[in-house]
Amino acid sequence: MTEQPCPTAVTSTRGCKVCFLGLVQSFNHYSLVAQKLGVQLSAAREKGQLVFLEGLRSSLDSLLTEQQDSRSPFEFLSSPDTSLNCLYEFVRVSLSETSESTWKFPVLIIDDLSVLLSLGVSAVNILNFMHYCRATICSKFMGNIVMLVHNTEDLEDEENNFVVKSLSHQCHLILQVEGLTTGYCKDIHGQLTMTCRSPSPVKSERNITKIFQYKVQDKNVNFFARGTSSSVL
Amino acid sequence: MLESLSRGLEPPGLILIADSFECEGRSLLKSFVTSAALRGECVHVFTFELSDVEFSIGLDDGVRTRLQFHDGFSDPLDWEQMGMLPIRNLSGQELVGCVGGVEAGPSQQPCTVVLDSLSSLLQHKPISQLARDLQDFQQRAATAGLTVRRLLALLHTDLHPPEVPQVLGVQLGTTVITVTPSPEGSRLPGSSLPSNMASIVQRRKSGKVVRQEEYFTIEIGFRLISSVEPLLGKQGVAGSDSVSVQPDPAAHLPFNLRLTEQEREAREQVPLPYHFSTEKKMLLLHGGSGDARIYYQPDESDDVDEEDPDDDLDF
Repeated sequence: MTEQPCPTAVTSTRGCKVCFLGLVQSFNHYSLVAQKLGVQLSAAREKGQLVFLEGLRSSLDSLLTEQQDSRSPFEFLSSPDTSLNCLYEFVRVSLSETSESTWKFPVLIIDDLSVLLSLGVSAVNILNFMHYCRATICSKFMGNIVMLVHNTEDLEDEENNFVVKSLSHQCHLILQVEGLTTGYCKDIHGQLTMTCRSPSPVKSERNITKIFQYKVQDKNVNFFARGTSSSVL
Repeated sequence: MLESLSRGLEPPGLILIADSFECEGRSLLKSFVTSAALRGECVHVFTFELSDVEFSIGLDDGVRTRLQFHDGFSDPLDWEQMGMLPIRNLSGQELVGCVGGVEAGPSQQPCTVVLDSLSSLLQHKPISQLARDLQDFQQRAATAGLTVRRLLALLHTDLHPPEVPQVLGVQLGTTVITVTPSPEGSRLPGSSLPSNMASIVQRRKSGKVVRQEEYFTIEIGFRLISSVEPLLGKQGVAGSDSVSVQPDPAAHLPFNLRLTEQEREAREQVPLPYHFSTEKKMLLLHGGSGDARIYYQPDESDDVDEEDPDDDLDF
């Protein structure tokens, strides 16, 4: 999967209230990357547009502090096979003020769900968490969710594959990012398969799939059709 | 058979629509719902995977008025304590309570019950428990005087082991409709939309199992069009026309390139020059036995001398 999906998603959420669950990298990492794309995460956080959950730091605080804070979003780390109810509460509270403010609609960004499996959360609990996020953010608040999940089809990780397949049925748009099958290329860094699921809700239509290749530059990502790379043309 | 199932002409029971990521089955489910609503039946829709607003998208107003939604989507695990339909404790009794509560006592009007989807229920309970709950629902509904004409359910086959639809089919006498995409470019007559294939397995009360494959498409308004005949698309799905389309190079020539049947047979009998046939093999095997002889007839002018010409040599 791509290394930097989330700041690209943040750039397209101008005027929206964003809840960003950064479970894999520090805030500084995302901030530096977003800065290259023209987005100031620090400023957004200060004015209340962005609610950022820094997983690396908050989880450590949750494990090391002795006080019994039942509302910690990382309560699931201390009890195995616990639901992600507290994490969902954090998301719901962060985005529930959207209707009363000047923001357009809420957006939830998650980086990434596969790490929750690695932390011992069961696939069913992850799907329950995503179900509630979808019910609240998409159906109730009319917002959007952008999430990153690693594709482990080749590695036979049954739990991860089950999560990916289940979420694929619920998503409207799936972006699958992978390297080239032919190996490293200086001018083409990877391939993006975009699948728009059942585009029309009023009749039966097939999924629309489009394939692009891309090159990551310093402050931009160039997308182009296969065979039209600048090194070829 | 698909259209007769949609119109309610087949015997009542459970109809399971099994789909996958490549081919969604919810539009077929909604076409069955539309048909039931247009027949005047009350349709009870239990939503577990999407909201009632999302389910209603594309349905006519006349159809929507006949739909009764039971919300199992907003708070299935009671995290919000909204008192909604609990997915974990959903039993046959709960289902009958929801349907019966709307129908206001024993009712002779037939109704259709829709479960969208069984995959959501199977995340929280095993298949055996779910099959028992559905069986229990059918029995309790009959006891309570409810006329549940049909129970429609959606299942995502790629999320479960392949034996799950079979278990439901055998235990509940289900009609299982598995939808898959048909070849690219194939269309039904009278439709501009791509078609899908439905593999229907129907288990009747007599024990007979009927299998059929049909091609179908869902038009706007969830109107179902189906056909048993194979489709002809751009790639020629039937395949029979492609051979005759090619031009015959031996036609319209001033000389004859064709062979009659006798000439063709004679040509096939001719042995190839370097073909190692059985006759050649036998000939080569018997060639060393000394059968080959040289016969020499001397002429009158030939001088035949019996003496050895090398006798006078003294080495």
